[in-house]
Amino acid sequence: MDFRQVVGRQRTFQYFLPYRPVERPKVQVILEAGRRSSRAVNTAFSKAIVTHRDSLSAEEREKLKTPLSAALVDTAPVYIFWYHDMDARRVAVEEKKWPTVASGTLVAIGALGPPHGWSHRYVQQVVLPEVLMPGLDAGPQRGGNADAALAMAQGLLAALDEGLAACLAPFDEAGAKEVLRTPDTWEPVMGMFLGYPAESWEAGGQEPRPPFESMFFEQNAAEPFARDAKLAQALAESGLGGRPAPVPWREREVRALARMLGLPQE
Amino acid sequence: MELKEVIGRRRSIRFFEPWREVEREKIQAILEAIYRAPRVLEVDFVRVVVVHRDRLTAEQMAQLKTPTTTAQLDMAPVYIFFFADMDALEAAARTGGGFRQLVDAGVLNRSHGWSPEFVSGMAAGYLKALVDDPDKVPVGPPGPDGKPRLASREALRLARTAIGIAQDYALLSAFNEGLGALLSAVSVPAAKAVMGIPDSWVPSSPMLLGYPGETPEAGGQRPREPFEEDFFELHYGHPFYREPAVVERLKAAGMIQEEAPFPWRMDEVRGLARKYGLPD
Amino acid sequence: MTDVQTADVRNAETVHRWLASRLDLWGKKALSDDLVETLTRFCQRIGKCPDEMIDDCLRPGKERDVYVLRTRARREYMEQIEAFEAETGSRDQANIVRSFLIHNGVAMNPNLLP
Ligand SMILES: Cc1cc2nc3c(=O)[nH]c(=O)nc-3n(C[C@H](O)[C@H](O)[C@H](O)COP(=O)(O)O)c2cc1C
Ligand SMILES: Cc1cc2nc3c(=O)[nH]c(=O)nc-3n(C[C@H](O)[C@H](O)[C@H](O)COP(=O)(O)O)c2cc1C
Repeated sequence: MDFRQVVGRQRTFQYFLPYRPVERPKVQVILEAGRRSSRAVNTAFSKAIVTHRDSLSAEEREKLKTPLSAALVDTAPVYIFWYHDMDARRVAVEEKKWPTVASGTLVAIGALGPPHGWSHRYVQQVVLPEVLMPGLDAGPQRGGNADAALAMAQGLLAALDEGLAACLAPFDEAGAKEVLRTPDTWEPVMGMFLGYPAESWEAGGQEPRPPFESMFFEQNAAEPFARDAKLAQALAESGLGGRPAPVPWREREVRALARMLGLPQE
Repeated sequence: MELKEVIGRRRSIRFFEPWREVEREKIQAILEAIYRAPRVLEVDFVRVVVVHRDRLTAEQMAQLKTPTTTAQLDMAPVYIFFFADMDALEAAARTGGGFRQLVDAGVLNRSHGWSPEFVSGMAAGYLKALVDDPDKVPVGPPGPDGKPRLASREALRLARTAIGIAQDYALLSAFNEGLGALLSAVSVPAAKAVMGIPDSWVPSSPMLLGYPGETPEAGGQRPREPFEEDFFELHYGHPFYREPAVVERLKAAGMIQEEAPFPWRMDEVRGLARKYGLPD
Repeated sequence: MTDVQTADVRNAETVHRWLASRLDLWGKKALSDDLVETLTRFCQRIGKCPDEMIDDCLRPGKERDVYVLRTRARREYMEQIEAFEAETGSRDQANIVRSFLIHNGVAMNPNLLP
């Protein structure tokens, strides 16, 4: 699908066809897309575990739930739990595993070299000790990591492109650790709940956003980016846009979905 | 362009045509894509500042440079900075934030337990617990009073997730527009001063943007660790089986492309060095 | 100390490392005679031999083979190279000196902006 159309398709999908399985190749495509995202020092910060609702016991599913994701755990056929491995930098630097900056690969393949001031000696004898090693002694540190979110976002777009509905929602970290047996160094990013949509692709309409001028600035944080309204309209028409939520028939759709899926109607 | 091809074409571009401006329409197209990205827990975290290199003074340029990134900063005509505003999270923890909008818009419904009461009680409470977590660290460089704003690590975890999503949308959108882009470190305190960034904004690596100076392949797709190191099924330790037929399908779709280094890459890099007056 | 000789430069450990690193990255065609000649002229101009230049910029760290970039010294060399560039009127010659520093672990870039 065209890039802009995929971006415009994004919704907080909530209703999945409980009986329609998600094909394994589509799940693989999501992971493959995540794998190709940009990553600082080309290091493997991002991890994911794929789980199938029907391969878990009711008790295990309970353990994964947060108040914000309970219904998703019950209704989505596939979950992908995205994580940040807080140990990834140490593995890259100390074990020199995998093709990273630390192992010299970026210089060796001509991605980053002398034209930018980089050389093997600079990496091994200056960057490693001065930039990549400091702080490792403190051990794994929580506090998030953009890279894992880059991978997850790229996976999300791939899911939409594959014709799947997806919703990002939190999962219970301690419960997931028991069920998924994750290492101590993994910190959760977000759960991706996946399935074929039971609702229409519009899913009630495009969701509200704060004013553009409150998010986008030019040259400094006080100057809003002057948005060209005509261009915004043209971009919306080329795929980014959609009718704003709620579309007039949303209430009736939601009631019908609740009946179909046996969910509470009031 | 097809999404899969955009993903396949994206790679870190480190040579830009320094003299070629980026059309304003293309910059706005990137911002409009970020605008549509999913919000982390429906919090309006994301703030983006577009900086035009040529509107910076020589002194500001010098301040932004770390010892390693100066050539890219000189070459790219536009920098797009990403932040997450911790004030937005704190506001959401009081009111339920965007969840309330989604309930009102019929996106989140009673079928899934959502209601205005649930938002102001349970959902706001969930956010508040993250904000109030006692394990606090600085959000960014110190403010004018010499003290950094503090936030819990749990809150920062969400903030950085929001930043990463915005960065990914921005990168892909740049390549969809036929541009080249790179996330690159700059001096964070200098960036804060140059743009007048509030203390509550969590900083990150900006995206350098411009027309690529190198071939779009840039020597090939950059290597990754084995798939099986990162992706698991049912539990950690059991790799997700990577079906070769799917890899072949993605090659045909242009998402998986020829891996670096192309045999002629080093000659290309030396040629680029001469083209731009850089050392080799 | 303008008596730095081409032979001294050619035999310096840091020059061997430079040429070996260029050979490794770019291949044989990246090893022309004017490399050592140009670096020698720069050395004569500032009165330092190649190993001294690198020692000025990289302070040995706590462990073996680990160095800390001395930013002030590096900045001074960058300025000296700019002066050399102005004097010779040649970005290429100045870049040869930069290449020597870079391959020895001293990251730097010329200014690209007008
Ligand atoms: C948060 C972040 C920061 C980065 N910072 C830099 C940087 O300072 N300099 C640089 O050359 N590349 C930087 N990169 C780019 C990575 O090195 C690059 O994505 C990685 O090597 C994989 O290569 P690819 O993007 O070509 O697939 C950064 C990437 C991320 C996600
Ligand atoms: C839950 C699950 C786990 C799997 N794990 C593996 C595995 O570890 N190794 C493997 O070679 N294939 C694995 N597969 C793939 C299957 O062996 C098989 O190749 C795939 O499901 C398609 O084959 P089928 O059409 O006969 O079902 C797994 C499949 C599923 C559904």
